[in-house]
Amino acid sequence: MGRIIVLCFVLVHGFIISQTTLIGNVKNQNNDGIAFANVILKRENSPDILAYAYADESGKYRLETSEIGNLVLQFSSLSFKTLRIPIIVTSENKVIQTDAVLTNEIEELDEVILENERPITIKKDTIIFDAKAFLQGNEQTVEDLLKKIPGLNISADGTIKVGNQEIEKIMIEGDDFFERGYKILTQNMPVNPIEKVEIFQKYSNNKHLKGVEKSEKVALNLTLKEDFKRQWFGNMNLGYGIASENRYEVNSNLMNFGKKNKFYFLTNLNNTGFDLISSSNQLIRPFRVNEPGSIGDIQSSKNILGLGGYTPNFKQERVLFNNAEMLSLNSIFKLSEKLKLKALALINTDEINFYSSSFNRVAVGETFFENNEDYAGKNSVKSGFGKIDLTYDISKAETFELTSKYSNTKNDNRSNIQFNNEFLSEKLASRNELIDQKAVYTYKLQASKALVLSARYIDEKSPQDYAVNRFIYQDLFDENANNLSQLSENIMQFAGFESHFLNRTAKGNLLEFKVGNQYRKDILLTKIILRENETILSEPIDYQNNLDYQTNDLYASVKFDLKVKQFSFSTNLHAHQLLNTLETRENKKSQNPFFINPQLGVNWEINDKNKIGTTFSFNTSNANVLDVYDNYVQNGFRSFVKGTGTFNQLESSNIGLDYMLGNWGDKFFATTSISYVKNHDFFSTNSLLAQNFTQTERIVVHDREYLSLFSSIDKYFNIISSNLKINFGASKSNYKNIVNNSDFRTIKTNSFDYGFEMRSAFKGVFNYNLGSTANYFEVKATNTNSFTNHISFLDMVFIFSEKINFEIQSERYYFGNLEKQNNTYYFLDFEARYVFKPNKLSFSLSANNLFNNKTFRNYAVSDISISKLEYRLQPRYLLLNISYRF
Amino acid sequence: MKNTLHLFILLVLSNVINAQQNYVLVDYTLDNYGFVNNETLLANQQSSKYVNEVSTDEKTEDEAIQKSENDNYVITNSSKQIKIETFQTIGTPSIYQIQYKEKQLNVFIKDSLPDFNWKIDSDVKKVILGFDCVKATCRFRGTDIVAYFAEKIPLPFGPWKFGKLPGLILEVYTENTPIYYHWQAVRVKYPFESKADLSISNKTLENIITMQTYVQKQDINNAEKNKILNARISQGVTTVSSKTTRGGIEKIYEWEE
Repeated sequence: MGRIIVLCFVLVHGFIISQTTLIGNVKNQNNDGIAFANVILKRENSPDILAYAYADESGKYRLETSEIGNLVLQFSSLSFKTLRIPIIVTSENKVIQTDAVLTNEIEELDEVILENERPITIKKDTIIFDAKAFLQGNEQTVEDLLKKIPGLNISADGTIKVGNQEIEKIMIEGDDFFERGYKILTQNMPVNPIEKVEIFQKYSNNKHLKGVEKSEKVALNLTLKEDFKRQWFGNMNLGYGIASENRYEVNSNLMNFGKKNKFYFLTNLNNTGFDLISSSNQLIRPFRVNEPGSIGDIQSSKNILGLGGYTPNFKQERVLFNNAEMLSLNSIFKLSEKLKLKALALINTDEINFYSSSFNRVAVGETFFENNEDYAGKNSVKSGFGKIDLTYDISKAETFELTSKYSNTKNDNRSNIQFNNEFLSEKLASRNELIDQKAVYTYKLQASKALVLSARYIDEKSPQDYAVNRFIYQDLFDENANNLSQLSENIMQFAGFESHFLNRTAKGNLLEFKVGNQYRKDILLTKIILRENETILSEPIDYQNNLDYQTNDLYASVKFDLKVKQFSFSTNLHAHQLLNTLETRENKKSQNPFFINPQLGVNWEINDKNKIGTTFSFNTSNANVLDVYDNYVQNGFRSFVKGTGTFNQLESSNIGLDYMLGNWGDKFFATTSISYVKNHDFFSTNSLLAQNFTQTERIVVHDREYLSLFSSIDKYFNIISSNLKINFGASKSNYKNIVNNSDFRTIKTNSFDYGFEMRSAFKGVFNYNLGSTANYFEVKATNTNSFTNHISFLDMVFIFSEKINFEIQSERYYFGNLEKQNNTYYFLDFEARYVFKPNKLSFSLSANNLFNNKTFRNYAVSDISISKLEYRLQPRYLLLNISYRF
Repeated sequence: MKNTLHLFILLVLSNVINAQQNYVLVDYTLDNYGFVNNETLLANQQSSKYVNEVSTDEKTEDEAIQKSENDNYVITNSSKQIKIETFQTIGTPSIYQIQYKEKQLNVFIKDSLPDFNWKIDSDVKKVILGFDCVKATCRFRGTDIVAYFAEKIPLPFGPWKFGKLPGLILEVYTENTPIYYHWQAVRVKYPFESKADLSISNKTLENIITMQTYVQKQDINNAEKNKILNARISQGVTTVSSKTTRGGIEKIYEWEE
């Protein structure tokens, strides 16, 4: 039966297309077969290849064709001359035999070496992730995607780390808008246009320093899908509270990332506890340590006063009562091949409410009192920020960058306090104005040498106007006042210049020289005014400051990094010649200390699995403006502080040790780190405690010690597809202070925490993450205060399909020192997502605080007191969210 | 004639020369999404050996996440692939690969390649290193491939696993893949004197595993690695178990279709 079918097929086939078989032998002039010769069938006068074959070991070949007409067989083999033999194939020919005899010929293929035309971008330190592979359908923002990329850690506040290293920036198609303020982007930009996430390790903010400077920095780049380039697109998320009062969130993005110009506009409005201020702060004041061209990054003016309103270390959405609005307009214009202009504007407003009540018991020697305080506060923030960044590539090896920033922030704080039986109202108006100019010139002398010249000028003012409508300080002031106010202002000017030369030797060792001069001038003006109603009674002289503090730091440093086999050494010497002047109302003094700060680091890679790192350093640091003023200022409604009134350079020694066993991706992985700090001198306090106020003076005391240890072990169990993590931490410190004219009191603190976490990686619908941590803290002075707290959590995720998923999060908090009826808190949150139309329309429903806890209590201890703090919580609410992309 | 501009026919030698001693040496650069690697093909009329030596002068340590041949990402630490040798011989359907790994046993793989089903588009030509090259396309294990081969060099070989065209492949790249691979010949040397043995030793053949077994092992390995990573994500982060996708050239194998 089978044979008949085959036969029929052959007949039919042969009938429709006449198939011709070309066979033959390819031989050399000695009549030996040429093994593996190449045979190509072409049409005469045409280069088209109709069929091809390679001969067998004996030089026999076989080709099939359905073509007819004048054809050519082309025979070739290495070291033979190519031979073309014309043949005529007609529909009658079934088999045509053509033998070929090739003549020897060595045709030397000239050594043509092609210049690689692509720019040689040897990005050994790049890691690329294909977004598609990590998306599961429940992601809205870029942050949601990044959370799923292994190796990236995203903390609750949106900080992104690779390992332990915070990333520098997130670029889009190679251009950066926000620097360290990248949360603005990650928490708002929709995820769908993203094609790839690229992680640049050993990243350099300055392109000329790539490969020259020693960099542990990491940056991310997002590349976009083709459809999203050069066109406007965006999204809109709308959330509204159902079954609860007036909760909303709106978030909208509009963007266009063309080759020449890039635009990104976004807005966010919410009253659901989503903090927008902290991300803009990082945009306004990016902070880089030891980076060439980062001169002046740590310089900023100081605020004297902050009103209460502290929130516990807790999910922000639970405790933050906000009403925030943010608008951010960003563009990058590529004006020419060499010139790029970046312009950013940011407007932010917020209205934050705080509610807390506290009980505080102070017991020190003879002193004993208890205070109750109910606090309700409101802070209105308005801030505007603008930045222009001009980058000019003078040549391939030279770049000049000019950055101008202006920022203006207004805080209007009001609070109502019930302090024991007194009712007080506070008002605090704070303003901050910043002008910042920076110029950086980079010249790459050779592949491994670079020079960076930078100059910066900063002018910043932070005036504050404080008033409290009741007078509870009779013991401090001998006036019959009934209200108090304080005017204060810190004006800071900074000017600095730095020249930084880097040279990476052929062996990869790095030598750096730095010379620079930084000048900073601080003016601190403060004044307390006592009033009876509107009438000024007094401006006590001990509560006024008129300070002019100037420091000029002429410095030079040399740094050398050396690698010898498994050891790498890093040595660093900083020499500083300071010129400090301090001018108060009464006197003017100056000093010019000289000191050297040495530093040594040794890393030893014993083998692939065992690594040890150590650091030693000795550090001298100069006092800042808030350490040196000589009269009291009020820095809280019941507290007054003053500085030392003189110059200080404090010395400390540090030792650190890290040990790593295994690697992060291994089944078993453990790390331990130990650090020890000895402050040969440090700022401690001499305080006077009274029921209604504390008065604190900064004093210099010798010998403070701090020892800490942290250890963690990760073990993955195949059988249960889960990872077990065990953490252990301990720390110990001792220092001295003075309270109520005592002798030096020695204070010792001890803390331990230990816990575990277990997380599954099941393939199916369900996954869990559970864990528990216990924390013990004690402080020993004349008597001992301590507490033990526990935190446990259980999260469950159900992914039913790409369209529907659920997530349940539960938490338990236990405070060992609180009364039984109030010491345990349970929280339950829930979120469900439904994708109606992928990449277009989706819905989510989230339920927060399902057990509807109204308040939350904490317990804290210090060397002088114990306190119970109660915070108000966002009550239970349901939020329906609609997300639409365009 | 373009060819004559670039090519010089220098010598016509007599039969004395033994053809077997003549090799072709081709240097290629592989641009794998910005990672540039220098690779080499050594071939005679019968066999070829392609060496892909991964430059490891800069070691990425700790939890460094590395790229590897077959995966989009792998977070590895130990077993770094340092060299892959690919052997092809005319007339044998399978190719052989030896993967040399750092501090680990080498892996010997026999890969019975599927038919490339090359479509030759003689209308599209390109001169590479002075050779007239013709375009050919195919879909290889789930990825669209474009190759340019030189008829003038009558060898059915090319970079990595590519070959079986009526001429040596001088350029080959992937199409429509987010992470592209692009091989380009930068130097062709012929004749090239060599005593290299282009066959695999019998000892190697004893320890050989099939590509199918290798892929299955890799898949299990990767899935486990992926699980370890997923199980180590910090609390509060909603992760749904992620898929491991093959991000390299080989996405779907014949036996999976």
